[in-house]
Amino acid sequence: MNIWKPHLGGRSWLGGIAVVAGFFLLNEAFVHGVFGYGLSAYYLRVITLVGISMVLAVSLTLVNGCAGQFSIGHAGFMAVGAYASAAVTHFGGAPFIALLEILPAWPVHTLRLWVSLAVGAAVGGVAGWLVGLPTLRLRGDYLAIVTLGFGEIIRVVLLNIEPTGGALGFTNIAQGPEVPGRSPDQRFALFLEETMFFWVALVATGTILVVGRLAYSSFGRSLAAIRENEIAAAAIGIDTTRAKTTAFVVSAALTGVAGGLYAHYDNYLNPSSFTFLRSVEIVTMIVLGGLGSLSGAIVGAGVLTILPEALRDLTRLFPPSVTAAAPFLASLPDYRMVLYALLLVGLMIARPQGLYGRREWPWLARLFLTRDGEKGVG
Amino acid sequence: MVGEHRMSSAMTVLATKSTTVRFGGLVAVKDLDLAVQAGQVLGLIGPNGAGKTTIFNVLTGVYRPTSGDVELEGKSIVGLPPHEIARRGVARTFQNIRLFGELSALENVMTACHLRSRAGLLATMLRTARHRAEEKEQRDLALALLERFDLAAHRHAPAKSLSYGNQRRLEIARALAMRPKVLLLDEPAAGLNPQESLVLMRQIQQLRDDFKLTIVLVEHNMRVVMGACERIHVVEQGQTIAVGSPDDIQRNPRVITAYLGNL
Repeated sequence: MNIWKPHLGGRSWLGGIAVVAGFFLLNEAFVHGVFGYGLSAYYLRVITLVGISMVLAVSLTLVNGCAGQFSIGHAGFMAVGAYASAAVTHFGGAPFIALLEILPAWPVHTLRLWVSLAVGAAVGGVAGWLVGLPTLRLRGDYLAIVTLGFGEIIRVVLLNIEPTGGALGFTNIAQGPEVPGRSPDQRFALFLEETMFFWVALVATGTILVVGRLAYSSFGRSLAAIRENEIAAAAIGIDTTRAKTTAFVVSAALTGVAGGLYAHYDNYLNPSSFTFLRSVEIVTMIVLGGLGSLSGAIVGAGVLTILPEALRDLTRLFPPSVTAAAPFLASLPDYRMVLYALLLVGLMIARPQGLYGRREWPWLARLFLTRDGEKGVG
Repeated sequence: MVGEHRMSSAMTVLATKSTTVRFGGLVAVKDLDLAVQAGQVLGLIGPNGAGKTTIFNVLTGVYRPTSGDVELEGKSIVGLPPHEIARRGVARTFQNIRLFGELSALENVMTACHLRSRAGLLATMLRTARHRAEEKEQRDLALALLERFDLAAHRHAPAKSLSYGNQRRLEIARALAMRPKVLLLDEPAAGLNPQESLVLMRQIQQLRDDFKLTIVLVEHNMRVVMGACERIHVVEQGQTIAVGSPDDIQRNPRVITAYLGNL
């Protein structure tokens, strides 16, 4: 039962500063082992990828969860954002390298990353608008088909663009184009390697905040109205096409940022990372978590990113005596994707509404809503 | 009757001018001249399939008339999308209730308050003072409306879990949250028990007075129609067969024939 009302209190700058400082300390701890909590490159990678998945899942929630419009082409927006921001970093490095002569390194690198991510967001948003405007006038399935087609078109186009590597992939994004006779500038790449966890954590938090504030507001209620009954939504004066397009553009822009993060984290892109399966994976995250729930999207992103990795270690779950008695257990990790699929099927049978349904964690809900004076009735 | 029409035509809020709606070969509404005066409760009645709901759909922009005009306060609204007509002050309820089932009663009413929202997307993301003030304003208005319709106790219940009568009243509350000029009620008494329809009948005129409304009512329950309406427009097979006061209509032989056949 919804016993929350929109948050009307002031904003808390202190909380924001504390979160940024906390992420910074975590980054220092994880990457440099400052407090003895250093993580292996593998674990750090999994955690960072979880963060990027969260951005993807939470931004898709606005379209699929809140507005009830089924988009299965978000890998396309991710690809557009990834390649756009990677191209800006790769080909537009000169002014920043010049700035490095007069300014300390980290503000310049930070600015360079932000500019690239902003371009990723803008290009993703424009792509969202171009795809959404003609198709969101249609209902339901049409959107799914068109977004699916869009995702594939993007991938095929990227396969054929030579400056960004084509089918070979986009390499050395942070180092810039190769200049014969000069060794590549590694400074930005090193900066990214050491700080990407921080940036991903920051963007993921920002995405949750932005989407949550939109979802739990007048705008979010309009989207929910469209999801519940589009004819009635129009009859109470909601410009349904406009609201859906807005949600789509915001979602595509945030997905573009996620793509940008992905590009800068791996320092490499390949069109094959953005197939239809990637789109389905993002949809699966939010369906598993519970459509329309931010908490669900966050958990779904975590589960779906960690699970395939965790299943690699399956054999270790059994004591040596058991593995010795049943040698076939040693080959269990080979079947990890089968087990992964079975687990998903099992979860959806046990909880068809997703892990969280439409509910939120109380602490998360409190960011966007305040508790109503009394208990819900009925 | 012609004189009366001419005299009050200056105050006509909503009108159709020889409006025709065709679905392929079927003529659902033919040359309809409907005039609703400001502050009036007008009943739109007729046998099943007479085209009453089609007329509502034309008035609210869901259907575009094949020919003829629809005017709101003297301006043509033909071709405007439904949300634009709603924003200009035409609210409606639906014959088959269309609430936002998963949303709470309060949220249902709040969604309809968005029309006066001026805070943009950026203000919403930043939670500016203006955005917060508007959220509070919407909430207060919605709560007041729920109070008015005796739904305050159910404000946190999902709309789909409410009883049928409560759902009907919630739909009216939601429509009123738009602060409309004209309210179109499509069979508001359908599915209500005699007690509830009696209350509804009394409420309709009260609503008109309190909210300064003009009301058009499609209804089959004749007690409600005769009790609540000042003027009645009778259609049969898409054509007007009588317009007049409840007393006139009850005595009109064409109306009696339309409803009961040739006796």
